[in-house]
Amino acid sequence: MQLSADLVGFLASPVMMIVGTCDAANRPSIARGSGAAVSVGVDTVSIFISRPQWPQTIANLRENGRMAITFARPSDYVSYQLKGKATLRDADATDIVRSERYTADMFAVLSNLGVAVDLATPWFARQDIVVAILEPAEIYVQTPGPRAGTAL
Amino acid sequence: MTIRLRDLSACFEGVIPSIIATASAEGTPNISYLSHVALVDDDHVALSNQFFAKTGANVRANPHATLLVVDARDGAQFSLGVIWERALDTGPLFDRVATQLRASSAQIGMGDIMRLKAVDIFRVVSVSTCAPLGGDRQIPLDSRPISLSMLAALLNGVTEKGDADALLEAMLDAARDISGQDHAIILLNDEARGVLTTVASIGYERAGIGSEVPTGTGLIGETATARHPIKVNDMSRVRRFSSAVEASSTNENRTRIISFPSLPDAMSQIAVPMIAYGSVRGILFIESRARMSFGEEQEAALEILARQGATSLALNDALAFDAQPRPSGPSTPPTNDRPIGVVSHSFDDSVFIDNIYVIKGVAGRLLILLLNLYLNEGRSEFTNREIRFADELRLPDLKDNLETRLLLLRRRLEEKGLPIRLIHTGRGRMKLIVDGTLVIEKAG
Repeated sequence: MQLSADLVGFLASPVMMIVGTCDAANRPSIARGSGAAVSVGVDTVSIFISRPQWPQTIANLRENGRMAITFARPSDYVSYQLKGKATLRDADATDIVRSERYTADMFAVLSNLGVAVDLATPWFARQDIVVAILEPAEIYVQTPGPRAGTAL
Repeated sequence: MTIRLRDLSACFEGVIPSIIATASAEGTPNISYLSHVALVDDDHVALSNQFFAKTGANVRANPHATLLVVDARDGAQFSLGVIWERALDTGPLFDRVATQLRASSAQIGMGDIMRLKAVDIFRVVSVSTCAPLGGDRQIPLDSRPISLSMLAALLNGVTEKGDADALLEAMLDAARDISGQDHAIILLNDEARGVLTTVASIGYERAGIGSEVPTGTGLIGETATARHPIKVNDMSRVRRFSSAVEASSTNENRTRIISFPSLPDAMSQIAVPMIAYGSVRGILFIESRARMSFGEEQEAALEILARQGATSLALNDALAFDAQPRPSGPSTPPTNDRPIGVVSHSFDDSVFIDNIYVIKGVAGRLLILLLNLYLNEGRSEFTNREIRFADELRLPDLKDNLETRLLLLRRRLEEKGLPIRLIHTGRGRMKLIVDGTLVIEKAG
C-alpha cells in the first residue's frame, strides 16, 4: 500500500506511537514505540520497541505478525492508525541512533506542552530494541472528531 | 505484590491519556487513545464510547481488551487486562462518569469534542506494571493518606461553632488541612437567581466576598448541578474554569460585578457540593499551584467536610429563627452627623453607599429593609425572625440561608470600610451601626 508524502512526513515527525497486537487466544496487548523510520520505495514502516518493557508484544508479533500502530501528534491530536503484517529483526547501530534522536525530539515536544522529561521517561524505553517492520494494508484517520475511524 | 485497582487512583485523573487495545473476532488488533478511564469499583472501570466505533464493535465481538493507564505523578505505566461487560447510557453511574469525563476532557483540551453518548463498563481481570528494564518503581506510589482521627478532629472544630462566621472559618481551615492547599472559597447557592455567591475565602489577595458565578457552567457551577465533586488535576492546557467573572475590582462601582478571587496559575482545582437535606446549599472550592493535588482520599474527606458544613449551616439558620426579640431600645445615636448617601436601584436591587457599590440581589434588599427600619422606627437591633417575615423582601426562598446571607452582607460592608456596618450580636440577632445621617434615594 502506497504511503502519501504527507503521511510519510507525519510518521517521521516527533509523534507518539502506540502498538496493538494479539495472541493466539485473541487477547490484545499494548506497547509504545520509541521511534520509527519509513522506507519510501517499499512503503514499509519500521518501529522500535523495547523487548524487556513490552515482552508480550514481541511474542505476539513473532507468533502471528498482526499489528496496528497509531501515530498521534500530542499538540493537536492529529492521529493515523496503520494495520497490517509485521516482521521482526534486531536493531542495528542506525536504528539506535534514530531512536535516540526521536526520544530527544519527543522530550522537547512534550516539554513545550508542559510535560516534564522525568514524567515522560518511562514511555520511551530504549533497552534492547527490536525493530518491527510493518507492511501497512489499512490506514485510518484516528483524529478525534467526525472523521475518526474512516479509511484514508 | 499484587497491585489493586484502587492503588492506581492517580492513573484515573485523566491527565495522561490512556490507551486501549482490542482485537476483532478475526484477530486484527486495533489501538487507540482514550480521553479518560473512570474507576467504578474494585473490579470495574468505565470508558467513554464516542468516536472510536471500531473499539466498540471489537469488544462486542471479542470482549477481551487491554488498557494502558499512566500515573500522572511519575509517568509509571500499568497494563489492565479487561473484559467488556455492558454499555450504559443512563443512570447515576453514567451521570457520574459523564461529568468526570467532561472535566477531564477539558483538561486535555478536548472538552468541546468529547460529548458523551454512552459508557462501556469493563471488568478488570489483571493489573501489571510496565516498568522499563532497570526502572526502580514496580508498585504505585501511596497517595497521601487522611487519617480518620484527623478528619474527626477537623469536623469537631466545625460542629462546635455556634454562628455562621466561625463555622465558615472552621470549614476553610479544615479544607486547608485536608488538602494541604492554601486557597479555598465557600459559595452559597442562590437558586432563585441561578448563581453561586462567594461568602468566605482564604488565601487570596482579594477576598471576593459577594462575587458570583453562574450555576451550571464552569467547574463550580457544574458541580452545583451535578451534585458530586468535580476536579481537574492538570490545568496546563485549560483556560481557568471559573473565569466567568472578568471584571477587575477597580471598576466594580461601574459594573456592579465583584471580581472572583483568583489564582491565575492554578494547576489543580476541586469543587465539592455542600448538600444538606437533599439540596445543594453551596460549594466548597479549593485550588492549588501544584499538579495532582487532589487524590481520591482528599476528595472523599472534602466531601464529608462539605456535607457536615452544609448541615451545620442549615441548622444554624433554623435555630437563628427561634431567637426571641429583646426589648429594643432606641438606636444608638451616630457619633457624627456627616450625611451618608444610600442609593438603591430597583432593577437589580443593587445598593451604593457614598457612590461605592456594595451588593445586589437579596442581600441588597436586606440592607435596604434594615436601613428603612432604622430610619422609620428608630431601631438599630433586629432579629432573624422579624426579617424573615418582612413582606418587602418578596422572596419565598429567603427562609433558606438567611443567616448566611446576612453574614455575606456583613462581610461586604466590613470589607469596603463603609460608615454603615452590621454586627452579629448573638444567635439570630444583629445590630446596625450607622456612622452619620442617612439619606436614602431610590433609583431605577
